[in-house]
Amino acid sequence: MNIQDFITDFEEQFEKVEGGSINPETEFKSVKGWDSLTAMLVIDMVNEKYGKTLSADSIRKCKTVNDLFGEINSL
Amino acid sequence: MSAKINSISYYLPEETLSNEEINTLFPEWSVDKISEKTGIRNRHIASENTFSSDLAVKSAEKLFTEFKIDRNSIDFILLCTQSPDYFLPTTACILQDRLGLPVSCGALDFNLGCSGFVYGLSLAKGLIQTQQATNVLFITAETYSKFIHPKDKSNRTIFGDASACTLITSDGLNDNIGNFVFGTDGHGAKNLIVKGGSLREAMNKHLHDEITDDYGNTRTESNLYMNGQEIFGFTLRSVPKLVEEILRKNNITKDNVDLFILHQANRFMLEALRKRMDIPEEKFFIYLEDCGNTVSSTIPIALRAALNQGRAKAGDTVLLAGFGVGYSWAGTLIKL
Repeated sequence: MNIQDFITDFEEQFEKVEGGSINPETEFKSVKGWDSLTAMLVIDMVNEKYGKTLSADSIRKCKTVNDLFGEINSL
Repeated sequence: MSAKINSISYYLPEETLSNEEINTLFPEWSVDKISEKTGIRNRHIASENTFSSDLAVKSAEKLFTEFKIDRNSIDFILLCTQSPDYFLPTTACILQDRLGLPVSCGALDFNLGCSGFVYGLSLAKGLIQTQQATNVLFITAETYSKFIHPKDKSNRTIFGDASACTLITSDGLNDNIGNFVFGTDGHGAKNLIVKGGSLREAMNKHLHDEITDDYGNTRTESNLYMNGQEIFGFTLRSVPKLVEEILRKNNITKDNVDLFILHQANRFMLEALRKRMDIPEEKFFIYLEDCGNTVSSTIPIALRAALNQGRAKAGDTVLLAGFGVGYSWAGTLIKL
C-alpha cells in the first residue's frame, strides 16, 4: 500500500476536508473535524481496506499521518 | 415442553435528549454528523427519581394491558440490569411485589449488558424445557444515563434509558427458540466499566477527579467509561464469527434467515458489520432513531418495532445477536 492512497482514504473519513489538504506530516488530531467518531471511521476503513484492526492505543500514540501509516504497516 | 416468545412491550421514559439539545451543550458536535453516523435523533432519559425498577414496572404493566396477560399466571421473573436499585435485595424481588405477582414466583436478577437479552431467552427456555416454569416474565431495564458524566458527549450521544418486557411461555413441542451460542472475553472488562459505588474502588482517592480525554469528553473514574474504538475493534473481530456460529448450530444458511436483529449499538457499527457479513439491507433491521442504544433492551425493542412495521411477521425466522460489555456475546435463532 502506498501512502498517497492511504491519505486519500484517510481524507474521505472527514466531513469537510478537501482532497489534497492532508500530507504525510499533517498532525491529524489538529485537523478540524477530528473527533472520536472520525477515529472509529478510520478504524473501520483500515479494517475494510487493509484487513487490520487499529487499536485505540495506537491512534493515541501517533502524531502524524505518516506515524499512522507506519503503525498500520507494522500490524 | 418447548418455549416461545409470546409477547413483547417496552417503555421509554418521558424525558428526552435530542440531537439539537446535544448540539447546544456541545457546539463542536454537528447535529447532521450525529444523526448520520449514529442513526440516533433522540434518547429517553430516566428522571432523577426514576430507577430501573420503575421502568421495569412500566414495561411489565404495558405488556399485561396490551396483551391481556393475567399476572397470576406468571411463575418466574427474570430481570437483566446493570443499574439495579440496590446492591441488595434483588430488584426482581421488588418487582414481584410491585407488580402483584404470585408469591410462588421464582425471581432473580442477572447482570449483563448488550448480550443480556439473548442470555435471558436462554435461561427462560431452560426453565420452561425442564418444566420448572411455564410463564416467564423477562424484563430488561437500564438507566445508564445515571452513570454518565454530564460533560461526556460521546456516551450521552449514544445511550438512552429504557425497559422491555418479554413474556416467554411453553408452546407444546414446537421449538421456537433455537440453539444458543455464547462467548466471553473478560480481558475487555476495562473497556466498558463503571467503577463508582463499587466495593473494589471504595478507597480510591481519585475516583471523583475530573479527567478530559483526547476527544474532549470529561468524566471521573466513577462514571461510565467506554473505550468506543476498542469496543468497535472487538465487534469487528467477534460478531461475524458469532453470526456464522449461530447459523451453523441451527443448521441454516444465511439466505434462509428472514431478518437479522443485532444489538443496536449505533448505526455506524451496525452498517460496518452488515457490510462485512454481506447481509442485504432489507434483511437487516436497524431501530434506534428515537431511543439510542438502550443496552439489553435494544433487541426486544427492535423486535417489537419490526413486528409493528411489518418487517417481521408470524412464522419468520429471526437471528438475534447481542455483544458488548464484559466482553460478552450471545446469539440464537427464533421462529416468530
